[in-house]
Amino acid sequence: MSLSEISEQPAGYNFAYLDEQTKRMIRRAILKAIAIPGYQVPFASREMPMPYGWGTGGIQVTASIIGPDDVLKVIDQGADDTTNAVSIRNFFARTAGVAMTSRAEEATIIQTRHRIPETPLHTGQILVYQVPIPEPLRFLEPRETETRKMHALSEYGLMHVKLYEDIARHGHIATTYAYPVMVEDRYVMDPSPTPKFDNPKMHMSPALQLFGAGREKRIYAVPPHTKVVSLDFEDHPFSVQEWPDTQCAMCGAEGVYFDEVLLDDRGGRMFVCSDTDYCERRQAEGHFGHLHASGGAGAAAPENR
Amino acid sequence: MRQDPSPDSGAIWPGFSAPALQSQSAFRTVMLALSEPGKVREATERVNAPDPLNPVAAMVLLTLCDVDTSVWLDAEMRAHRELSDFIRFHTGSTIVESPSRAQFAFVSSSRRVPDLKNFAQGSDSYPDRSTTLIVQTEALTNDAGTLLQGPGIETSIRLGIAPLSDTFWDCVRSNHRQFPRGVDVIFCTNTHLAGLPRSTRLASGA
Amino acid sequence: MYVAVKGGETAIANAHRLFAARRRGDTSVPGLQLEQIVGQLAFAVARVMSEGSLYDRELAALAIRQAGGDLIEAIFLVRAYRTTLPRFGYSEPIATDRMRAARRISATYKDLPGGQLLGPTFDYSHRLIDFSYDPDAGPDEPALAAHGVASDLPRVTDLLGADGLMEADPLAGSDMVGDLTRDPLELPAARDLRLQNLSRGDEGFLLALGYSTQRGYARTHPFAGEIRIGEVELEFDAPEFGFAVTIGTIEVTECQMINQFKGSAKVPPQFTRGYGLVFGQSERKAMSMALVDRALRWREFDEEPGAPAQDEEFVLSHSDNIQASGFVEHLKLPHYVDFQAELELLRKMHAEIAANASSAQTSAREAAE
Repeated sequence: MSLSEISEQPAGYNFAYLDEQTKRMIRRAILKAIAIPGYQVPFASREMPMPYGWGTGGIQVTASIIGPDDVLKVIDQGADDTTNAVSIRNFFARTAGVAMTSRAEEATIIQTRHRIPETPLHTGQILVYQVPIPEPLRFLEPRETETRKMHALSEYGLMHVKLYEDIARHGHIATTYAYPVMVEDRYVMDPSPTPKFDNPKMHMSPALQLFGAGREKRIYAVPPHTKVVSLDFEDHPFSVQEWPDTQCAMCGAEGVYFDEVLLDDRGGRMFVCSDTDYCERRQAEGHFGHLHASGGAGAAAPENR
Repeated sequence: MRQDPSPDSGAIWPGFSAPALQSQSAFRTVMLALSEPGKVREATERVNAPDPLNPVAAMVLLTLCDVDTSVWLDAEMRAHRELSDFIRFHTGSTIVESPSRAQFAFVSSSRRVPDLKNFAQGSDSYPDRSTTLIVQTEALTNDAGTLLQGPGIETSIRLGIAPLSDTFWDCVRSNHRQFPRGVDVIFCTNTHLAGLPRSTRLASGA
Repeated sequence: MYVAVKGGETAIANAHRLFAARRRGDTSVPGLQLEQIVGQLAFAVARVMSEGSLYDRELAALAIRQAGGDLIEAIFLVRAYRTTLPRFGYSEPIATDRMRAARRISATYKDLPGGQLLGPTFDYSHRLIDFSYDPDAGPDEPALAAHGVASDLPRVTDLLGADGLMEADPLAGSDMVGDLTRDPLELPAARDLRLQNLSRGDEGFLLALGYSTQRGYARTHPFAGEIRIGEVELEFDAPEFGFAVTIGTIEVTECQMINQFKGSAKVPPQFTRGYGLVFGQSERKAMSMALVDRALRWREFDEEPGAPAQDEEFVLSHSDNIQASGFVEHLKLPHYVDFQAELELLRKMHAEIAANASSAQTSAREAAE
């Protein structure tokens, strides 16, 4: 093959970029992951044309399952138009030519980094998580050789000790994202760095949840209708983030996960929905927050403290 | 329409005509079958293959097996030389004698499912290193049969398999008991399939 | 009015255009030609081939140019291309004892069969910037030995082995080797996979680890038994032929370290091996690799563990600069969801502390009344 042929090749790549042998290898790993919910299946992660740590695991999983009839949604931090979400969506538009959407309920596959959509998912949907560190025990025990033994024996005392030490020191469990969960009473699993706010959405979800960690070469899964319980203690039950008396400045939503936007250097700030699709839909339905261009009809008092 | 080679032509039967798209669609069916255990679903990418491999089992074979996998065939399948040639030609898989060394095992009839213990069970550290069985059967139904529960099943689901070896559900019980070790099973009729991963348990009393 | 996260698509396209313009630099200056990079930046090309795990000088040059000279970025381009290539088979092991060596030195013998061959090297040059260097003036004609390049060079380790003073090559005779680009690395890893990992590993990382062994963190008493650089034939045993045919030549640098001797009740003491092999000319990398390889073999020789260079999981998990740079640089990606999660907790804790303080004040006042 000549150099000019090499440099002009993008059109010559396979459907969804990966070669068929690679897809088969990943597909075999996905099936094992589904059969053993919460267990991290090692796989021969490929070098992708984007950097490790930028979603290569999720991209390999999506590329291995996606077909021409799929409708893909890609979000990063809950938003469809963050730079890396745009980049990943362009990759699949170019290599698979599938339909794209920002509407959570229209998507058949949702690839995400750091959030689970606010809109409840339904049967038949697949949520693909990008995972940086799949090992929930990694920061307690950096050695894979050791953590593998702990998973084999279902020996998770170390994790409970760590969480309890948090409570002793801070009065709270200090883990706010990537909050560990127990899957089907067997495997402690890292939910990826989603805020713990999203953990309850994983429990008994009707959607299939697939997790891809490219750099760390692991795939794991939570089938639909599967028990996913956040670790906690009787005297310190699990709780999610709350923003008391806060509404989205754009759509007026309450009880959602918020992005904080600084407005000036004197403490002025506003909160907006982290899930941009959810927020836009509410606005389309006529719900407005106090800083919406419409003038905030139906909005509560401004939030500028 | 695809023409199958006549039995005496000596030619190899064709596989997928559009591998990337057909294997994607086929895989999706298999993936859903294992993520929603017991639920009977139609396989759309059926492949005609030499006897006794049925079109859905052939689809699973072409979708999951390749030069990196080992395949075990039961005696009935092994007796058909043409089938081994088909498998070698299309997948490059190594056909192994010992079921405990197989990543995929093909069983010609659900009437004669071997003891699941004979296959690779995986280890506590690597439970994924286990065999996936593809078991051919004549009929699958969700209207009657054994009541199943577990991940992927909202409440419970009935799965009827006919014919079926007498000891099969006992084997499933002990297979599940050693979770996370164990084998996963995919049942294939001529048109449909259903998954039975190791995570699925028999509803109490069933 | 809320525009912070909008317009990602346009911003990306513009950023790429801006980068392309910056990379090209002053357009009145002629653009870099691949032959110039291949011919005049051969060390950069060698590093990109080695750590990119793909022997193709022109492709490496293409990547270096596209990356604007950022070698890790160039390595990344080569790796991402390599992963899409079909694999036809595996070559026979290269025979470095039949290398057409351009350079071959041993630090352990004054002279030896095949001789010392200094060859092209930076060594013994004075590192003075040559202000008068004229790239367009041809270099002086090099003086080559009458017999050209050497090709019958017995290995120093084999010469020692013949006297029973060198441990047998622990990998000799094993015909199948692993490939960490096809199977996930399982720990602890066998030496074949360790060597593959090191050969692809970041030169700077290996250099620092190798250096640390010399400073006492897992000291192995190394001698540079031999370093050789040159062309070796690549043979491929195609089943159709029934014999191996030569499909080309590649340039490699090989380093065989001779290390601390070790014996046992059964075997008299023998020197031990550390091995380094990389594409192109890269002695620094090959030597560092050999030092780290030997340090990682501590278990085989019942040595005391604990030094960074001996820690297999640590070394193998952090040697790859593509993995490392990807993860370090991913911190540039938005993390405001996680950050908000931390902020929320911190604010809650502050509120609780404030509430506790005011209720303590109240109760103190009440007690005083």
